[in-house]
Amino acid sequence: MKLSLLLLACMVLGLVTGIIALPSGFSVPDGLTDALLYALMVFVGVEMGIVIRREGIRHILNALKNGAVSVVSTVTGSLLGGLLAGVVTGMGLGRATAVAAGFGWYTLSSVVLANLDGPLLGGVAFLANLFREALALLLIPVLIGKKQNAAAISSAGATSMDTTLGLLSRGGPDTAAAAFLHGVIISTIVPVLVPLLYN
Amino acid sequence: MLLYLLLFLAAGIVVGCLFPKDKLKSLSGKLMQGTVFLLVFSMGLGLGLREDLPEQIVSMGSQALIIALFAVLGSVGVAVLLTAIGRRRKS
Repeated sequence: MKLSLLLLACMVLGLVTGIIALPSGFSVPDGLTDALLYALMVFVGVEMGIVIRREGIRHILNALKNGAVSVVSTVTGSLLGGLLAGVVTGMGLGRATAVAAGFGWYTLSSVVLANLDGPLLGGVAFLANLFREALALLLIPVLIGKKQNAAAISSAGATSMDTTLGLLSRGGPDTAAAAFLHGVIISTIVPVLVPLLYN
Repeated sequence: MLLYLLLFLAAGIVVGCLFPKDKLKSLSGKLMQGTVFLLVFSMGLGLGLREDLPEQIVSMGSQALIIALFAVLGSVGVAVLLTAIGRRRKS
């Protein structure tokens, strides 16, 4: 929560700086943000590699089997939702599904899409995935109460391994373990799926 | 750009798999956080530099809300359906 607020503050700070600098004709150098994004992908990859090394690929595949319902629901449900949102908003199916494929990981999806498309789509991805986290925080207690634990995990998307894990663990230790693994798997999919769907 | 993104990601995975984990983990975690802050700031800057920002902000917010809502409802819907199928099979 603290990090979310800090990142939001960081974006607002950039926004205000931009508004102040607007009359000066200043623009953000493309090469710089591209280089930063490539560096970010390397760091995300390193984190993924560490998890693969620590858990072992076989263990991760087993986890995938156990959390399959939630993983399948999150991916298909979000992308179907993204498609429908693309039709309703008229913003294009590829762009809407790419935003939806952030699965709540608003930092990564937004900076990738800001570089691929522009700051407007980046901003939409930031807000949409931040809203997803907020919606999940509201829905999880209701879904857990109705014994829909897989649905509770799916609503959280990638955040089921960190920010919403505390709430999800109310569903019991099995749900907590499934939620964590689901978050790991979904987070692994995000950096691949967002650029693929945008293209 | 897509190819480069995936190549850099793959390079990172290889580094993460090969090198000693503890030192690398704290370093890559910190660098990742720092890069994210810089990129989020530059995205905000890019938005602030747009002359049409006031007109765009409402459509950005509504698009974001619609995508978030549909994505969450889609995820929950499919999960409820699959859970029901699973429970029926068991009983």
